[in-house]
Amino acid sequence: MDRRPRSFYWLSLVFGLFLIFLYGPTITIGILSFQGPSGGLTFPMRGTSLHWFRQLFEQQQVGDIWGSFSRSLVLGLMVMVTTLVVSVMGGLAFRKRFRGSALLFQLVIASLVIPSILISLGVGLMFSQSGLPVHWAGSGFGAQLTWTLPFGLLIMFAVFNRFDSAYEEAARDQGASPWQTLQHVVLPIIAPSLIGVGLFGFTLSYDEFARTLLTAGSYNTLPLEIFGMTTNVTTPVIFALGTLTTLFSLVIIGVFLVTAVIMNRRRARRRSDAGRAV
Amino acid sequence: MFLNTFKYAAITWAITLTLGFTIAYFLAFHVRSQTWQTMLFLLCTIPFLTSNIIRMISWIPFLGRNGIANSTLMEWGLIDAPLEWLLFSDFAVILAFVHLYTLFMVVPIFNTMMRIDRSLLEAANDAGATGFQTLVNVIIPLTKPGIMIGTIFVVTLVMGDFITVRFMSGSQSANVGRLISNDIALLQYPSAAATAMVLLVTVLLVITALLRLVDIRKEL
Repeated sequence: MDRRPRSFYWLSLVFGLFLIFLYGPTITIGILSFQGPSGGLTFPMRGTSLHWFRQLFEQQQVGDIWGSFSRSLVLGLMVMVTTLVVSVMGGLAFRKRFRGSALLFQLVIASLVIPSILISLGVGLMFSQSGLPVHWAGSGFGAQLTWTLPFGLLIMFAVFNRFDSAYEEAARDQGASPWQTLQHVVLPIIAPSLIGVGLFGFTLSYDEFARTLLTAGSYNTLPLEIFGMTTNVTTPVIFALGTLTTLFSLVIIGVFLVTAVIMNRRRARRRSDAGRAV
Repeated sequence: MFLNTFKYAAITWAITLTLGFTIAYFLAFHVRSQTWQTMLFLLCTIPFLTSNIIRMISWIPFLGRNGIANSTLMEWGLIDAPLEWLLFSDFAVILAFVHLYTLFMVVPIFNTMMRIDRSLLEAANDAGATGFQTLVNVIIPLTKPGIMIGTIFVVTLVMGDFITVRFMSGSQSANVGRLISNDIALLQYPSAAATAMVLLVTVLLVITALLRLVDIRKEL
Protein backbone atom coordinates (compact mmCIF):
# COMPACT_ATOMS: atom_id res chain seq x y z
CA MET A 1 0.00 0.00 0.00
CA ASP A 2 1.50 3.31 -1.01
CA ARG A 3 1.80 6.30 1.27
CA ARG A 4 -1.31 8.37 1.75
CA PRO A 5 -1.17 11.70 -0.09
CA ARG A 6 -1.37 14.88 1.94
CA SER A 7 -4.82 15.59 0.55
CA PHE A 8 -6.05 12.58 2.54
CA TYR A 9 -5.52 14.40 5.81
CA TRP A 10 -7.24 17.54 4.61
CA LEU A 11 -10.19 15.55 3.39
CA SER A 12 -10.38 13.62 6.66
CA LEU A 13 -10.51 16.93 8.45
CA VAL A 14 -13.34 18.14 6.21
CA PHE A 15 -15.16 14.87 6.74
CA GLY A 16 -14.76 15.11 10.50
CA LEU A 17 -16.09 18.67 10.51
CA PHE A 18 -18.99 17.56 8.35
CA LEU A 19 -19.89 14.87 10.88
CA ILE A 20 -19.76 17.42 13.69
CA PHE A 21 -21.97 19.69 11.60
CA LEU A 22 -24.41 16.81 11.08
CA TYR A 23 -24.55 15.52 14.62
CA GLY A 24 -23.55 18.48 16.76
CA PRO A 25 -26.94 20.21 16.98
CA THR A 26 -28.80 16.97 17.70
CA ILE A 27 -26.37 16.06 20.47
CA THR A 28 -26.71 19.56 21.91
CA ILE A 29 -30.46 19.33 22.27
CA GLY A 30 -29.95 15.88 23.71
CA ILE A 31 -27.86 17.45 26.46
CA LEU A 32 -30.14 20.46 26.89
CA SER A 33 -33.21 18.28 27.36
CA PHE A 34 -31.82 17.34 30.76
CA GLN A 35 -32.02 20.97 31.92
CA GLY A 36 -33.07 21.62 35.48
CA PRO A 37 -36.62 22.92 36.00
CA SER A 38 -35.51 26.56 35.86
CA GLY A 39 -33.35 26.16 32.76
CA GLY A 40 -34.03 27.85 29.44
CA LEU A 41 -33.59 27.03 25.78
CA THR A 42 -29.83 27.56 25.70
CA PHE A 43 -26.77 26.97 27.82
CA PRO A 44 -25.81 27.32 30.64
CA MET A 45 -27.38 24.25 32.18
CA ARG A 46 -29.19 25.03 35.41
CA GLY A 47 -28.74 21.68 37.07
CA THR A 48 -29.71 18.39 35.53
CA SER A 49 -33.07 16.71 35.87
CA LEU A 50 -35.65 14.64 34.09
CA HIS A 51 -38.16 17.41 34.70
CA TRP A 52 -38.90 18.09 31.03
CA PHE A 53 -39.29 14.42 30.18
CA ARG A 54 -41.77 14.11 33.04
CA GLN A 55 -43.69 17.05 31.59
CA LEU A 56 -44.12 15.13 28.36
CA PHE A 57 -46.11 12.47 30.13
CA GLU A 58 -48.61 14.95 31.54
CA GLN A 59 -51.02 15.23 28.68
CA GLN A 60 -52.78 18.51 29.29
CA GLN A 61 -49.51 20.40 29.40
CA VAL A 62 -48.31 19.96 25.90
CA GLY A 63 -51.05 18.43 23.80
CA ASP A 64 -51.76 14.98 22.54
CA ILE A 65 -48.25 13.63 22.00
CA TRP A 66 -48.90 9.98 22.62
CA GLY A 67 -51.98 9.88 20.44
CA SER A 68 -50.09 11.49 17.58
CA PHE A 69 -47.15 9.18 18.16
CA SER A 70 -49.31 6.07 17.81
CA ARG A 71 -50.95 7.51 14.69
CA SER A 72 -47.53 8.17 13.16
CA LEU A 73 -46.43 4.66 14.03
CA VAL A 74 -49.44 2.99 12.43
CA LEU A 75 -49.23 5.23 9.39
CA GLY A 76 -45.50 4.50 9.04
CA LEU A 77 -46.13 0.76 9.08
CA MET A 78 -48.94 1.08 6.52
CA VAL A 79 -46.71 3.13 4.23
CA MET A 80 -43.80 0.74 4.74
CA VAL A 81 -45.74 -2.37 3.73
CA THR A 82 -47.37 -0.69 0.73
CA THR A 83 -44.08 0.76 -0.46
CA LEU A 84 -42.34 -2.59 -0.16
CA VAL A 85 -44.95 -4.56 -2.05
CA VAL A 86 -45.52 -2.01 -4.80
CA SER A 87 -41.88 -1.15 -5.41
CA VAL A 88 -40.83 -4.81 -5.63
CA MET A 89 -43.60 -5.51 -8.10
CA GLY A 90 -42.80 -2.30 -9.98
CA GLY A 91 -39.11 -3.12 -10.05
CA LEU A 92 -39.86 -6.57 -11.46
CA ALA A 93 -42.21 -5.12 -14.06
CA PHE A 94 -39.70 -2.53 -15.24
CA ARG A 95 -37.09 -5.20 -15.95
CA LYS A 96 -39.03 -6.00 -19.09
CA ARG A 97 -39.78 -3.33 -21.64
CA PHE A 98 -43.50 -2.87 -21.85
CA ARG A 99 -45.69 -0.41 -23.64
CA GLY A 100 -45.72 2.96 -21.96
CA SER A 101 -42.86 2.07 -19.62
CA ALA A 102 -40.97 5.24 -20.54
CA LEU A 103 -44.04 7.38 -19.89
CA LEU A 104 -44.76 5.60 -16.63
CA PHE A 105 -41.19 6.17 -15.53
CA GLN A 106 -41.48 9.89 -16.31
CA LEU A 107 -44.62 10.02 -14.20
CA VAL A 108 -42.82 8.33 -11.32
CA ILE A 109 -40.02 10.90 -11.47
CA ALA A 110 -42.57 13.70 -11.71
CA SER A 111 -44.26 12.45 -8.57
CA LEU A 112 -40.91 12.51 -6.83
CA VAL A 113 -40.01 16.06 -7.80
CA ILE A 114 -43.34 17.82 -7.37
CA PRO A 115 -42.96 20.18 -4.41
CA SER A 116 -44.40 18.69 -1.27
CA ILE A 117 -46.80 21.52 -0.54
CA LEU A 118 -48.47 21.05 -3.93
CA ILE A 119 -49.12 17.40 -3.16
CA SER A 120 -50.48 18.37 0.20
CA LEU A 121 -52.73 21.09 -1.19
CA GLY A 122 -53.84 18.99 -4.16
CA VAL A 123 -54.66 15.84 -2.26
CA GLY A 124 -56.31 17.76 0.55
CA LEU A 125 -58.51 19.78 -1.81
CA MET A 126 -59.35 16.75 -3.90
CA PHE A 127 -60.60 14.85 -0.88
CA SER A 128 -62.58 17.71 0.62
CA GLN A 129 -64.09 18.78 -2.72
CA SER A 130 -65.27 15.30 -3.56
CA GLY A 131 -66.76 14.86 -0.11
CA LEU A 132 -64.34 12.15 1.03
CA PRO A 133 -63.22 12.37 4.63
CA VAL A 134 -59.82 14.04 5.07
CA HIS A 135 -58.16 11.62 7.45
CA TRP A 136 -54.55 10.70 8.16
CA ALA A 137 -55.12 7.06 7.25
CA GLY A 138 -56.83 7.98 3.97
CA SER A 139 -55.69 11.18 2.33
CA GLY A 140 -52.58 11.42 4.53
CA PHE A 141 -51.62 7.88 3.60
CA GLY A 142 -52.05 8.61 -0.11
CA ALA A 143 -50.10 11.85 0.05
CA GLN A 144 -47.14 10.13 1.70
CA LEU A 145 -47.14 7.35 -0.87
CA THR A 146 -46.54 9.89 -3.66
CA TRP A 147 -43.09 10.36 -2.12
CA THR A 148 -42.17 6.93 -0.72
CA LEU A 149 -43.22 4.88 -3.75
CA PRO A 150 -40.92 6.62 -6.27
CA PHE A 151 -38.12 6.41 -3.71
CA GLY A 152 -38.66 2.69 -3.22
CA LEU A 153 -38.93 2.12 -6.94
CA LEU A 154 -35.65 3.96 -7.63
CA ILE A 155 -33.91 1.79 -5.04
CA MET A 156 -35.37 -1.31 -6.69
CA PHE A 157 -34.03 -0.10 -10.06
CA ALA A 158 -30.58 0.16 -8.53
CA VAL A 159 -30.97 -3.35 -7.08
CA PHE A 160 -32.13 -4.97 -10.29
CA ASN A 161 -29.46 -3.20 -12.33
CA ARG A 162 -26.93 -5.16 -10.29
CA PHE A 163 -28.92 -8.39 -10.30
CA ASP A 164 -27.32 -11.27 -12.17
CA SER A 165 -30.07 -12.92 -14.18
CA ALA A 166 -27.92 -16.04 -14.55
CA TYR A 167 -29.42 -17.21 -11.23
CA GLU A 168 -32.88 -17.06 -12.68
CA GLU A 169 -31.82 -18.88 -15.82
CA ALA A 170 -30.24 -21.58 -13.70
CA ALA A 171 -33.47 -21.97 -11.76
CA ARG A 172 -35.47 -22.12 -14.95
CA ASP A 173 -33.14 -24.73 -16.42
CA GLN A 174 -33.71 -26.86 -13.36
CA GLY A 175 -37.40 -26.76 -14.08
CA ALA A 176 -38.56 -24.17 -11.56
CA SER A 177 -41.82 -22.42 -12.33
CA PRO A 178 -41.69 -18.60 -12.55
CA TRP A 179 -43.36 -18.37 -9.15
CA GLN A 180 -40.85 -20.79 -7.61
CA THR A 181 -37.98 -18.84 -9.16
CA LEU A 182 -39.30 -15.65 -7.61
CA GLN A 183 -39.92 -17.22 -4.24
CA HIS A 184 -36.78 -19.28 -3.85
CA VAL A 185 -34.23 -17.40 -5.94
CA VAL A 186 -35.04 -13.75 -6.60
CA LEU A 187 -36.59 -12.72 -3.30
CA PRO A 188 -33.91 -14.28 -1.07
CA ILE A 189 -31.18 -12.61 -3.12
CA ILE A 190 -32.72 -9.16 -2.91
CA ALA A 191 -33.91 -9.53 0.70
CA PRO A 192 -31.24 -7.26 2.27
CA SER A 193 -32.18 -4.46 -0.12
CA LEU A 194 -35.82 -4.97 0.77
CA ILE A 195 -34.92 -4.15 4.35
CA GLY A 196 -33.45 -0.89 3.08
CA VAL A 197 -36.63 -0.08 1.16
CA GLY A 198 -38.72 -0.88 4.21
CA LEU A 199 -36.57 1.35 6.39
CA PHE A 200 -36.88 4.22 3.93
CA GLY A 201 -40.62 3.74 3.62
CA PHE A 202 -41.11 3.80 7.36
CA THR A 203 -38.84 6.68 8.27
CA LEU A 204 -39.87 8.90 5.36
CA SER A 205 -43.46 8.49 6.46
CA TYR A 206 -42.75 8.78 10.18
CA ASP A 207 -40.92 12.10 9.70
CA GLU A 208 -43.03 13.49 6.89
CA PHE A 209 -44.37 16.94 7.55
CA ALA A 210 -45.35 18.94 4.50
CA ARG A 211 -47.29 16.21 2.73
CA THR A 212 -49.37 15.42 5.79
CA LEU A 213 -49.99 19.05 6.76
CA LEU A 214 -53.19 19.53 4.76
CA THR A 215 -54.16 15.89 4.45
CA ALA A 216 -54.19 14.66 8.02
CA GLY A 217 -57.60 16.01 8.93
CA SER A 218 -58.43 16.72 12.54
CA TYR A 219 -55.94 14.31 14.14
CA ASN A 220 -52.27 15.26 14.02
CA THR A 221 -49.37 12.98 13.29
CA LEU A 222 -46.26 13.40 15.42
CA PRO A 223 -44.31 15.82 13.14
CA LEU A 224 -47.40 18.04 12.91
CA GLU A 225 -47.76 17.96 16.68
CA ILE A 226 -44.10 18.88 17.14
CA PHE A 227 -44.41 21.72 14.69
CA GLY A 228 -47.46 23.00 16.50
CA MET A 229 -45.43 22.99 19.69
CA THR A 230 -42.62 25.05 18.17
CA THR A 231 -44.94 28.01 17.82
CA ASN A 232 -46.31 28.03 21.35
CA VAL A 233 -43.95 26.10 23.61
CA THR A 234 -40.81 27.90 24.70
CA THR A 235 -39.47 25.50 27.30
CA PRO A 236 -36.96 22.66 26.98
CA VAL A 237 -39.89 20.26 26.90
CA ILE A 238 -39.61 20.49 23.13
CA PHE A 239 -35.98 19.38 23.36
CA ALA A 240 -37.06 16.44 25.49
CA LEU A 241 -39.57 15.47 22.85
CA GLY A 242 -36.94 15.90 20.12
CA THR A 243 -34.52 13.70 22.02
CA LEU A 244 -37.14 11.00 22.49
CA THR A 245 -38.20 10.91 18.85
CA THR A 246 -34.61 10.95 17.65
CA LEU A 247 -33.85 8.04 19.98
CA PHE A 248 -36.87 6.23 18.64
CA SER A 249 -35.68 6.78 15.06
CA LEU A 250 -32.24 5.48 16.00
CA VAL A 251 -33.76 2.37 17.56
CA ILE A 252 -35.77 1.75 14.39
CA ILE A 253 -32.67 2.18 12.21
CA GLY A 254 -30.75 -0.12 14.55
CA VAL A 255 -33.43 -2.82 14.33
CA PHE A 256 -33.37 -2.70 10.54
CA LEU A 257 -29.55 -2.78 10.41
CA VAL A 258 -29.31 -5.72 12.80
CA THR A 259 -31.90 -7.59 10.76
CA ALA A 260 -29.87 -6.94 7.62
CA VAL A 261 -26.68 -8.17 9.25
CA ILE A 262 -28.36 -11.31 10.60
CA MET A 263 -29.84 -12.05 7.18
CA ASN A 264 -26.48 -11.68 5.51
CA ARG A 265 -24.84 -13.99 8.05
CA ARG A 266 -27.58 -16.54 7.64
CA ARG A 267 -27.20 -16.44 3.92
CA ALA A 268 -23.45 -16.85 4.12
CA ARG A 269 -23.92 -19.86 6.37
CA ARG A 270 -26.49 -21.42 4.11
CA ARG A 271 -24.30 -20.98 1.12
CA SER A 272 -21.50 -22.85 2.82
CA ASP A 273 -23.94 -25.68 3.54
CA ALA A 274 -25.15 -25.79 -0.01
CA GLY A 275 -22.59 -28.31 -1.24
CA ARG A 276 -23.41 -30.83 1.47
CA ALA A 277 -27.13 -30.60 1.01
CA VAL A 278 -27.05 -31.92 -2.53
CA MET B 1 -40.67 36.23 -4.03
CA PHE B 2 -39.64 34.09 -6.98
CA LEU B 3 -36.26 35.75 -6.94
CA ASN B 4 -35.81 34.70 -3.32
CA THR B 5 -36.75 31.13 -4.18
CA PHE B 6 -34.13 30.99 -6.90
CA LYS B 7 -31.57 32.62 -4.66
CA TYR B 8 -32.04 29.99 -1.96
CA ALA B 9 -31.94 27.22 -4.54
CA ALA B 10 -28.77 28.51 -6.21
CA ILE B 11 -26.79 29.13 -3.02
CA THR B 12 -27.85 25.88 -1.41
CA TRP B 13 -27.05 24.02 -4.61
CA ALA B 14 -23.56 25.47 -4.81
CA ILE B 15 -22.74 24.68 -1.19
CA THR B 16 -24.24 21.19 -1.10
CA LEU B 17 -22.53 20.35 -4.38
CA THR B 18 -19.08 21.38 -3.16
CA LEU B 19 -19.54 19.77 0.23
CA GLY B 20 -21.26 16.67 -1.09
CA PHE B 21 -18.64 16.14 -3.78
CA THR B 22 -15.81 16.47 -1.26
CA ILE B 23 -17.41 14.01 1.14
CA ALA B 24 -18.23 11.50 -1.59
CA TYR B 25 -14.72 11.85 -3.04
CA PHE B 26 -13.18 11.19 0.34
CA LEU B 27 -15.36 8.13 0.95
CA ALA B 28 -14.93 6.68 -2.51
CA PHE B 29 -11.24 7.20 -3.15
CA HIS B 30 -9.48 7.83 0.14
CA VAL B 31 -11.09 5.35 2.50
CA ARG B 32 -9.50 2.07 1.65
CA SER B 33 -11.13 -0.64 3.68
CA GLN B 34 -14.63 -1.54 2.68
CA THR B 35 -15.83 -1.94 6.23
CA TRP B 36 -14.80 1.61 7.06
CA GLN B 37 -16.39 2.86 3.88
CA THR B 38 -19.72 1.28 4.79
CA MET B 39 -19.49 2.49 8.38
CA LEU B 40 -18.70 6.08 7.48
CA PHE B 41 -21.35 6.08 4.77
CA LEU B 42 -23.96 4.87 7.25
CA LEU B 43 -22.82 7.52 9.70
CA CYS B 44 -23.58 10.14 7.04
CA THR B 45 -26.95 8.59 6.23
CA ILE B 46 -28.42 8.14 9.70
CA PRO B 47 -29.33 11.82 10.36
CA PHE B 48 -31.31 11.80 7.14
CA LEU B 49 -33.58 9.19 8.68
CA THR B 50 -34.44 11.31 11.70
CA SER B 51 -37.00 14.07 11.86
CA ASN B 52 -36.29 17.20 9.80
CA ILE B 53 -38.20 19.42 12.19
CA ILE B 54 -36.22 18.25 15.18
CA ARG B 55 -33.03 18.88 13.25
CA MET B 56 -34.18 22.42 12.56
CA ILE B 57 -35.14 23.03 16.17
CA SER B 58 -31.73 21.82 17.26
CA TRP B 59 -30.11 24.87 15.68
CA ILE B 60 -31.82 27.20 18.13
CA PRO B 61 -29.41 26.73 21.04
CA PHE B 62 -26.56 27.24 18.59
CA LEU B 63 -27.59 30.34 16.77
CA GLY B 64 -29.81 32.22 19.21
CA ARG B 65 -28.89 35.56 20.78
CA ASN B 66 -27.39 33.82 23.79
CA GLY B 67 -26.57 30.71 21.81
CA ILE B 68 -23.34 28.79 21.65
CA ALA B 69 -22.03 30.48 18.53
CA ASN B 70 -22.49 33.97 19.91
CA SER B 71 -21.13 33.27 23.36
CA THR B 72 -18.07 31.48 21.96
CA LEU B 73 -17.29 34.35 19.60
CA MET B 74 -17.69 36.86 22.41
CA GLU B 75 -15.46 34.83 24.68
CA TRP B 76 -12.76 34.81 22.04
CA GLY B 77 -13.14 38.56 21.80
CA LEU B 78 -13.99 38.46 18.12
CA ILE B 79 -17.23 40.36 18.58
CA ASP B 80 -18.51 42.67 21.30
CA ALA B 81 -22.25 42.31 20.92
CA PRO B 82 -24.21 39.18 19.92
CA LEU B 83 -24.64 38.82 16.17
CA GLU B 84 -28.29 39.28 15.34
CA TRP B 85 -28.18 37.71 11.93
CA LEU B 86 -27.31 34.20 13.06
CA LEU B 87 -30.82 32.99 13.76
CA PHE B 88 -33.96 34.10 11.93
CA SER B 89 -32.19 35.24 8.79
CA ASP B 90 -31.30 34.11 5.29
CA PHE B 91 -28.07 32.79 6.72
CA ALA B 92 -29.97 30.46 9.08
CA VAL B 93 -32.26 29.31 6.28
CA ILE B 94 -29.39 28.33 4.02
CA LEU B 95 -27.50 26.72 6.89
CA ALA B 96 -30.53 24.56 7.62
CA PHE B 97 -30.95 23.66 3.95
CA VAL B 98 -27.33 22.57 3.75
CA HIS B 99 -27.70 20.64 6.97
CA LEU B 100 -30.81 18.85 5.76
CA TYR B 101 -30.05 18.21 2.13
CA THR B 102 -26.30 17.66 1.63
CA LEU B 103 -26.98 13.96 1.91
CA PHE B 104 -29.03 14.04 -1.27
CA MET B 105 -25.83 15.08 -3.04
CA VAL B 106 -23.49 12.69 -1.24
CA VAL B 107 -25.45 9.52 -1.97
CA PRO B 108 -25.82 9.73 -5.77
CA ILE B 109 -22.32 11.13 -6.28
CA PHE B 110 -20.84 8.40 -4.09
CA ASN B 111 -22.85 5.84 -6.02
CA THR B 112 -21.45 6.92 -9.40
CA MET B 113 -17.93 7.30 -8.05
CA MET B 114 -17.96 3.72 -6.80
CA ARG B 115 -18.72 2.58 -10.32
CA ILE B 116 -15.73 4.33 -11.85
CA ASP B 117 -13.22 1.79 -13.08
CA ARG B 118 -10.13 2.22 -10.87
CA SER B 119 -7.81 1.32 -13.75
CA LEU B 120 -8.78 4.62 -15.39
CA LEU B 121 -7.21 6.44 -12.46
CA GLU B 122 -4.07 4.35 -12.72
CA ALA B 123 -3.94 5.07 -16.42
CA ALA B 124 -4.18 8.79 -15.73
CA ASN B 125 -1.44 8.45 -13.16
CA ASP B 126 0.80 6.50 -15.55
CA ALA B 127 0.24 9.08 -18.23
CA GLY B 128 1.74 11.61 -15.85
CA ALA B 129 -1.37 13.43 -14.68
CA THR B 130 -1.18 15.13 -11.31
CA GLY B 131 -3.81 14.33 -8.72
CA PHE B 132 -5.60 17.56 -9.54
CA GLN B 133 -5.58 16.87 -13.29
CA THR B 134 -7.02 13.41 -12.69
CA LEU B 135 -9.74 14.96 -10.59
CA VAL B 136 -10.71 17.56 -13.18
CA ASN B 137 -10.29 15.54 -16.35
CA VAL B 138 -11.26 12.03 -15.28
CA ILE B 139 -13.27 11.93 -12.09
CA ILE B 140 -15.52 14.97 -12.51
CA PRO B 141 -16.69 14.09 -16.04
CA LEU B 142 -17.39 10.53 -14.94
CA THR B 143 -19.40 11.61 -11.88
CA LYS B 144 -21.61 14.01 -13.81
CA PRO B 145 -24.66 11.73 -13.76
CA GLY B 146 -24.46 11.51 -9.97
CA ILE B 147 -24.10 15.27 -9.73
CA MET B 148 -27.17 15.68 -11.93
CA ILE B 149 -29.29 13.36 -9.80
CA GLY B 150 -28.17 15.12 -6.63
CA THR B 151 -28.95 18.46 -8.24
CA ILE B 152 -32.46 17.34 -9.12
CA PHE B 153 -33.12 16.35 -5.51
CA VAL B 154 -31.66 19.47 -3.94
CA VAL B 155 -33.28 21.92 -6.36
CA THR B 156 -36.74 20.43 -6.03
CA LEU B 157 -36.52 20.11 -2.26
CA VAL B 158 -35.37 23.68 -1.80
CA MET B 159 -37.76 25.21 -4.31
CA GLY B 160 -40.77 23.45 -2.86
CA ASP B 161 -39.82 24.08 0.74
CA PHE B 162 -41.81 26.35 2.96
CA ILE B 163 -41.31 25.01 6.42
CA THR B 164 -37.56 25.55 6.71
CA VAL B 165 -37.91 29.08 5.44
CA ARG B 166 -40.71 29.87 7.82
CA PHE B 167 -38.98 28.33 10.78
CA MET B 168 -35.41 29.45 10.30
CA SER B 169 -36.17 32.95 9.09
CA GLY B 170 -38.65 33.57 11.91
CA SER B 171 -41.22 34.59 9.30
CA GLN B 172 -38.95 37.37 8.06
CA SER B 173 -38.08 35.99 4.65
CA ALA B 174 -40.39 34.34 2.22
CA ASN B 175 -40.27 32.13 -0.81
CA VAL B 176 -42.94 30.75 -3.11
CA GLY B 177 -43.71 27.84 -0.82
CA ARG B 178 -44.49 30.20 2.03
CA LEU B 179 -46.65 32.34 -0.21
CA ILE B 180 -48.71 29.27 -0.97
CA SER B 181 -48.94 28.15 2.63
CA ASN B 182 -49.96 31.65 3.73
CA ASP B 183 -52.72 31.68 1.12
CA ILE B 184 -53.87 28.32 2.37
CA ALA B 185 -53.92 29.54 5.95
CA LEU B 186 -56.15 32.43 4.83
CA LEU B 187 -58.32 29.96 2.89
CA GLN B 188 -57.41 31.73 -0.36
CA TYR B 189 -57.42 28.48 -2.31
CA PRO B 190 -57.67 29.94 -5.84
CA SER B 191 -54.69 32.18 -5.22
CA ALA B 192 -52.75 29.32 -3.63
CA ALA B 193 -53.57 27.03 -6.52
CA ALA B 194 -52.46 29.61 -9.09
CA THR B 195 -49.13 30.18 -7.36
CA ALA B 196 -48.76 26.44 -7.02
CA MET B 197 -49.20 25.96 -10.76
CA VAL B 198 -46.54 28.55 -11.52
CA LEU B 199 -44.17 26.83 -9.10
CA LEU B 200 -44.99 23.44 -10.57
CA VAL B 201 -44.29 24.56 -14.12
CA THR B 202 -41.00 26.18 -13.06
CA VAL B 203 -39.81 23.08 -11.24
CA LEU B 204 -40.84 20.76 -14.05
CA LEU B 205 -39.01 22.94 -16.60
CA VAL B 206 -35.82 22.86 -14.55
CA ILE B 207 -36.06 19.10 -14.06
CA THR B 208 -36.82 18.39 -17.71
CA ALA B 209 -33.74 20.38 -18.67
CA LEU B 210 -31.64 18.40 -16.20
CA LEU B 211 -33.09 15.06 -17.29
CA ARG B 212 -32.01 15.74 -20.86
CA LEU B 213 -28.45 15.51 -19.60
CA VAL B 214 -28.74 12.23 -17.76
CA ASP B 215 -30.57 8.92 -18.05
CA ILE B 216 -31.54 8.16 -14.47
CA ARG B 217 -32.51 4.58 -15.05
CA LYS B 218 -29.11 3.66 -16.39
CA GLU B 219 -27.20 5.45 -13.70
CA LEU B 220 -28.73 3.92 -10.60
